Amino acid sequence: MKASLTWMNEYVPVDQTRPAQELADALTQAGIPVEEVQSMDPGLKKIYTGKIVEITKHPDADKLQVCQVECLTEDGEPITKQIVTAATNVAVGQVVPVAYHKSRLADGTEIKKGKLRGEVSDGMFCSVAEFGLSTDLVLPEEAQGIYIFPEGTPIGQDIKDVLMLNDTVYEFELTANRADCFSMIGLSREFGVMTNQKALFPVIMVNENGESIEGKVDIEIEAPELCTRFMGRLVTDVTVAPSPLWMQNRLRNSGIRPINNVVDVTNYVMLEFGQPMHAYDYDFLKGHKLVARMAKPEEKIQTLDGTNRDLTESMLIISDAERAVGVAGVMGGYDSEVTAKTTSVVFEAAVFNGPSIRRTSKALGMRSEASGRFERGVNHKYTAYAIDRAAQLLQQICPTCKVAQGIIDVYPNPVEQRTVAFNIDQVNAYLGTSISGDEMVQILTDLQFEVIRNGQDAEALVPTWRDDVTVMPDIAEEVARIHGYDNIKPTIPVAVLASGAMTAKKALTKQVTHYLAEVGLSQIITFSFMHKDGLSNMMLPEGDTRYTAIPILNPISEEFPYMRTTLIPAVIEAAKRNIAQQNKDLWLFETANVYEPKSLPLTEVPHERPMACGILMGKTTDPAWNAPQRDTDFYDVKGIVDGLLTAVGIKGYIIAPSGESYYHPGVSEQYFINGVTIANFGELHPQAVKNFDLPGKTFMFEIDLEAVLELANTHFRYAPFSKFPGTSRDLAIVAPTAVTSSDIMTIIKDNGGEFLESVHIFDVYEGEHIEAGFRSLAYNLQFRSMEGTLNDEDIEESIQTIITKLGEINCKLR
Amino acid sequence: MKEELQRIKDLALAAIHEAQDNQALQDVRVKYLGKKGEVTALLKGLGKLSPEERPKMGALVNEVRVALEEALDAVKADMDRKEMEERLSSEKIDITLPGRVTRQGHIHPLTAVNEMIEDFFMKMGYTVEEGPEVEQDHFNFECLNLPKDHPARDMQDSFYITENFLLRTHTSPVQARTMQRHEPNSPIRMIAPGKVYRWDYDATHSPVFHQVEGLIIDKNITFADLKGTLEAFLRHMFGEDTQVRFRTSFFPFTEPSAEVDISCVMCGGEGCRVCSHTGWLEILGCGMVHPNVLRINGYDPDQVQGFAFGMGVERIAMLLYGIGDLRLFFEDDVRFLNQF
Repeated sequence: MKASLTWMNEYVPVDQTRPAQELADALTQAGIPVEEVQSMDPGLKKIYTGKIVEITKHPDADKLQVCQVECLTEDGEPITKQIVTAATNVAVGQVVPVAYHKSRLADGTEIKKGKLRGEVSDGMFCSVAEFGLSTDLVLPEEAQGIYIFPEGTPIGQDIKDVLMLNDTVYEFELTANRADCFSMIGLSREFGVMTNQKALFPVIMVNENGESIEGKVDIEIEAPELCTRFMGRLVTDVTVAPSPLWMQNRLRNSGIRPINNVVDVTNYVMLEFGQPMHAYDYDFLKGHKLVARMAKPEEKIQTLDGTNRDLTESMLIISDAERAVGVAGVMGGYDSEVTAKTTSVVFEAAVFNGPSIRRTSKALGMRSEASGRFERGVNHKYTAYAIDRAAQLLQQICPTCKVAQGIIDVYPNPVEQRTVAFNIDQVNAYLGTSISGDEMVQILTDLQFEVIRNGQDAEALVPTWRDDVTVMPDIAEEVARIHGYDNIKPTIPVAVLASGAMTAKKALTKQVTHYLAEVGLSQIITFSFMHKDGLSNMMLPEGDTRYTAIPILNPISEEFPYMRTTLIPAVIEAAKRNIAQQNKDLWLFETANVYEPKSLPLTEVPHERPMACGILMGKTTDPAWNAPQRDTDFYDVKGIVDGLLTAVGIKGYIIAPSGESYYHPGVSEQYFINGVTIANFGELHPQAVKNFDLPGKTFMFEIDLEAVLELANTHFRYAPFSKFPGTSRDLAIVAPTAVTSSDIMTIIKDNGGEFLESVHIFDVYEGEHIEAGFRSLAYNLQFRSMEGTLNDEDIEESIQTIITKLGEINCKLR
Repeated sequence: MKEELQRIKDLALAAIHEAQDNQALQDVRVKYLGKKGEVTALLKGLGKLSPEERPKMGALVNEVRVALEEALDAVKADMDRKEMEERLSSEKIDITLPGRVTRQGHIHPLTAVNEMIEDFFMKMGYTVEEGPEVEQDHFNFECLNLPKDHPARDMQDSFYITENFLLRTHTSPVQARTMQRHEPNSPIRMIAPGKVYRWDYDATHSPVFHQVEGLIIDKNITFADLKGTLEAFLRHMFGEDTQVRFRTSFFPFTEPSAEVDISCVMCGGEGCRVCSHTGWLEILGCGMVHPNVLRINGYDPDQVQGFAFGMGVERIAMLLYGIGDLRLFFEDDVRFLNQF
């Protein structure tokens, strides 16, 4: 909603000497937010009205004309200026804008007296663009060529005065509850309260100088839930013409394009009272009838904008005796539009149900000034003012017209005014204030509530335009906002002591996130959406549950039609975005939910499973002088996963091949407990690398944080350790390649005896000096006793057992 | 014997001062003071002297022994010091070379900001709650006093799954779920951080973004408490000098409602490009919980009252870290991530 301060001044004095931003800030603080304060003056200087009295051809140029223009000097003395123009729409008798010598146009251009092909030009004629009016706000014919003022416009006037360009306009970004402020009258009340003045209401008087409306117009409501009031007036002998400048200016400064006197009146009244209106050409209404009814199956209408619309049975329309003539509250019909030939007009002022208008305008993709107001709610009482105001204004600007006697008013269930009871102490207890009862009553009275006070109890009769005020807290807000939010002293809540805490799931996610960052991965955040192409790239077999994804009815783009069931593709895409930027060495992870529907279509909320997913590729570190760079490998990923599970106290998981289609079958694995996979990781399958168009070896991991949460046990318990020196032994073992490190480790641990404290593998070698089909693995064994110092002899037996057992699987000491 | 003693002393002292290194010094020590050393031999020879001479000579020999030992120690200390100096001067390295690289990971700035918010409210006794992202229309709208076809639903363009399921447009449904889980009218102090979704995608809107919701309900919670709590919170986030302003606003789930502004973090309120020359930055929305919301979720507005607030994490992170482009959060460029 835009409000012209010059227009506002008609209802409540606006002190235009004060900076416009000050009042805007006060309104904003009080909940009437001013989004922008605009000056309509783009810095124009010395542009005045002048009348063309003579036009001659330029002696030396075919396309130029030499005009003699009656003007006034800046001191008000008559003067005839010669202006040379290339414009083709000028004619003798027209009043036009003349930019004088040393004038300034909207774009900052200075105009100086000069000669055009030898002829003196003492200035220039202007088009609307040159004085800064948007061409959207003038008629198409006015947007072209020189702007022509209406006949009778006096000469020597500063065009800023004539076109109301001295104006300041507030553009409001109003909240949905303040339907009343979508009107000058509504805003004027707020202006008044903010400046301690009472806003004036326009004097509405209609001279019913026509014949009776009786029998000439018929109005009917077929859908009383959706159309709660429908008023009509008939005006005859209308001459359709442009409105006077004062009305055009007000509409323009409010962001509405003037069209003709009839349409302008409807828009003017809408801006003034917030009541959307429509004007029908009486002669085009079949049966001279207006009916508010639901559209019929397959009914169609061509709307004002020339578009053909298919209507549905859930849409409220206005029809005449035969066909739809408007989409109620949204847009009028093309056929019954007021045109230059119109002589009789029916004004409509009606109240339509907000949600219904909202659904219809959404379904048709049509939003209008009218629909926006109906959605928020229109005041039933103002409908009557509006219909009279329209007749009055049309009469005023089109004196030939005759207003038919009488109004048609179909208002089956008049709305009753509401009262809200409240208690002064209760309001203070709600706000945490000690505002006096007198101040509260004063604030509400200023806002035109009628308050009856009885001690600390009070009852407020809510003004008809404040449909949003229904309960005590609404009263509290009115009191607080006018008293000033700033004047409420902040306090800290008094509450029973309680410790703050987060859910175990949240705490675990936090721990995992910090762990992964500490071991060198950077956290990423990607969208929760996916495309099934990602799943195909992962080569998931048909029937994999990850294909069962929740489709989004209105996805943000074709790329993202589903809620994701795996983080893998999104994490890969994040890596690829980096690669495209030459960031090649990547260790990234995300912790986020995947969405597993319990049924499709959804009948309950899906299972949202928290997962951690990482991607690693390239070098493990930046180049350094003191550490050689190396490529990331499987054991980096494994180390991260192992470390994470250790950190959360998960032990005893079973190691198995990954089994996932997108991992390299030889370079991947999974950990599970009780049949539940906790982690799955490894090198991305070379085919998946190709499918995703990755540059090379890529390692990934996925950890099911829900499974981890189930099994995590960080209640670590202390185990005593030995105070005595121990002994250590290194074993280099040559083993067939089919024997895994884990096989050997198990034998060492099982046969190491009571003193075996720890085992570490410190070398793996294959190649020269080792027989083909074999490799060498070197282990360091630490032995220690709780009872005393250990000697080599104490462990000899265990070592021998280990060697014997290893021998049984064809492993021997090197 | 006296002369002999003097001679040995002179020779020994000369040898001590001539010694070039620790080994030479040790040799001198052995030669004179060792088990078979010359001074030791003299001490042993004392037995042959008469009882009258013995103590006198004994004292003399001992004097020499002490003198030699002191000389030895002094020279040794001197040598050690020189040796240390030489070592230190010879072991000088280029300390400007970088240290050994360890790989450094980074927490996403949105996570970091979330944790700052959580820390503040947990210390104030709030619990951190979570709720589903794929949510029922019922919890996302209706439980929050936003019936179907309410114009305020336009404030939030939704992603729909079915008629009744959508991607939550705010973290507010966690309020409703938390209230419904609690014993009616029992006190609540909670925040709910999480992902939210709105159908909007351009330079200043992301279809996926993050919010933190807050709710406190008890017998005597007031609008003044709301002001005090949020002022303390915003100063925790943006610094003690931060100015906080409450503007009247409208949300269907609160009444009275307010939008909260802070003094511009860039210009301190002078007016700059970031704050559109207003000196203020919009930072969060809040208000007293609407009685309808209490009632719908099983609480009695005549028994308890409370306040609720909601904020965008991206917005806060942008202001805290001076990030000018929302898209950076989701592009995941490591040159961005590695700055936090």
